[in-house]
Amino acid sequence: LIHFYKRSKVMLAKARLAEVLRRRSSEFIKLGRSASTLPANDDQFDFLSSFDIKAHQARYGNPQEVWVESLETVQPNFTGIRQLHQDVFAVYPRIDLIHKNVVWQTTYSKVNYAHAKTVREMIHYFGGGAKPWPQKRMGRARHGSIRSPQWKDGGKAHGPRGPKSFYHMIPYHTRVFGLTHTLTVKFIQDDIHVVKDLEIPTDDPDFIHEIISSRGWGKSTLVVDKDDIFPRNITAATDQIKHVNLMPLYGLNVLSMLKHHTLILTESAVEELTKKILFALNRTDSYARTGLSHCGPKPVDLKIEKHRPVV
Amino acid sequence: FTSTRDMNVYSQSRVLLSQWRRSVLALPSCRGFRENENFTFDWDKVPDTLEKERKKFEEYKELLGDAMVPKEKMNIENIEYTASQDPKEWAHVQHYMDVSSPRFIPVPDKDDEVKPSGFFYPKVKPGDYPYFVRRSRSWLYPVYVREYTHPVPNDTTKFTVTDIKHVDGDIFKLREDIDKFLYDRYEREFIASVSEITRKIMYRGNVEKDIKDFLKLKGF
Repeated sequence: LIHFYKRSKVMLAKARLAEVLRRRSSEFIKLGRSASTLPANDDQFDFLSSFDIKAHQARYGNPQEVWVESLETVQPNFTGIRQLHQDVFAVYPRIDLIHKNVVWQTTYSKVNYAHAKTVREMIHYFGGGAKPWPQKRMGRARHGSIRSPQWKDGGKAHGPRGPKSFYHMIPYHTRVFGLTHTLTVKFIQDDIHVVKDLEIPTDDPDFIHEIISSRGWGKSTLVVDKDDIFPRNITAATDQIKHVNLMPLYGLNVLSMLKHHTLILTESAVEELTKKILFALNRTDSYARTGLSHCGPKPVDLKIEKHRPVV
Repeated sequence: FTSTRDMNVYSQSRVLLSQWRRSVLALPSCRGFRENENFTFDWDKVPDTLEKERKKFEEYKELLGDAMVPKEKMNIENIEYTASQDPKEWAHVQHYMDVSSPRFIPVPDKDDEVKPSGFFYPKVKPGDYPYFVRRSRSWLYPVYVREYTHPVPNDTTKFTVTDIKHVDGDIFKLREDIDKFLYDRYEREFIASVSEITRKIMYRGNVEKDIKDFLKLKGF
């Protein structure tokens, strides 16, 4: 007999989904910013002023140099030269690290909603817990319910059970190395252009089409600046072009860089990027700040923060 | 095996101290001569008999007297304090917080002198040699010892491996130079493998100290 009237300890699909989302909600909210950024506790710490870039050694070989361009004219307009740090833009490229980051970015937010009801769930929703006919003397096969697996519209014995999330986190340093290795690959293949400003004379999308064709930039471009607020003309011009996208520095990630053919960085973005990545490569508190439990990264709370003066 | 992780008292597979000592002292470079002032406990200076030891302790107690044991109990848990909201006073607190838990290791002095611990700022710059071994983020040599286990679970081959990471330039020349250095010391060839993509050299056996001597001689 199937005791469907007893309170079942097995969670039904709705309760299971709610449980999964409640458990993972903190992680999903934190991942809303971007795939490869520092945790939120670092906003107060002013490491940029106290971190000495020149003292940290560069790699073997000559430092990398890049032209600094301007977008005022359609024709190529080089205003200067800039040196790039080798730990960020001249690393021995490793494709397996890039691959790991790409796979992670595509699958960490994936949820498989396939769910097959069991016999008990079918009875709960559609009825059929009673024995259809007596055991003996009917000349028919013996059955306990009309929802057993061998019946039509019956439950599934070993089917997919509930929403299944493919959420996982790769280690902090593989994400950092993912950024550095993709930037080096882009730089080696001449797909990085450094720009002084994003000031454009007109807000006409044709101006940008002409720039791309005259300078030999690829089919799709990603424009990265330090802040989220961009000048008016470039936003209006690129608003209607789907393959030219604007992005702040905190949104920089491996998948976007590979999806777009060229990457355009402003000088301020390059400075901030080098400082942040060098800090990430040389920090000593990565275990405390980036250690993952099943509830997400561990926050570092100090009791003395109660007495911090409010300014 | 050579790592001190296996000395953890609370792990189930604990290795005896004698076994650990035997494996660490396998190579002559680990035995005998004293390199620094650490670990200089001398058993010869400990007195022979119980009475002599007792006398020594009583003399020691006379010198210090009651400073060893305080008369009043310290009330650590329920100390009365007042917290001020002055930002100038908080600056001192912030300084101590920053110094106690640094986010990154400060850059050491660029002097040419060798410190008492044996540390020195790297004298060599990339370009002096055909290769360059970069220091780690804590300004130490990137030489690490680990236990190699075959990735296939049924295969139980185990041996120690020393890694040399962060190698730029011509790795194969560095491997040749290290081979020569080790042959001059031990009159024996060591098995090594070079990983060009991950910029690593892996030697069989615990040759950590010999490689660090090599790097110190070169000035990395």
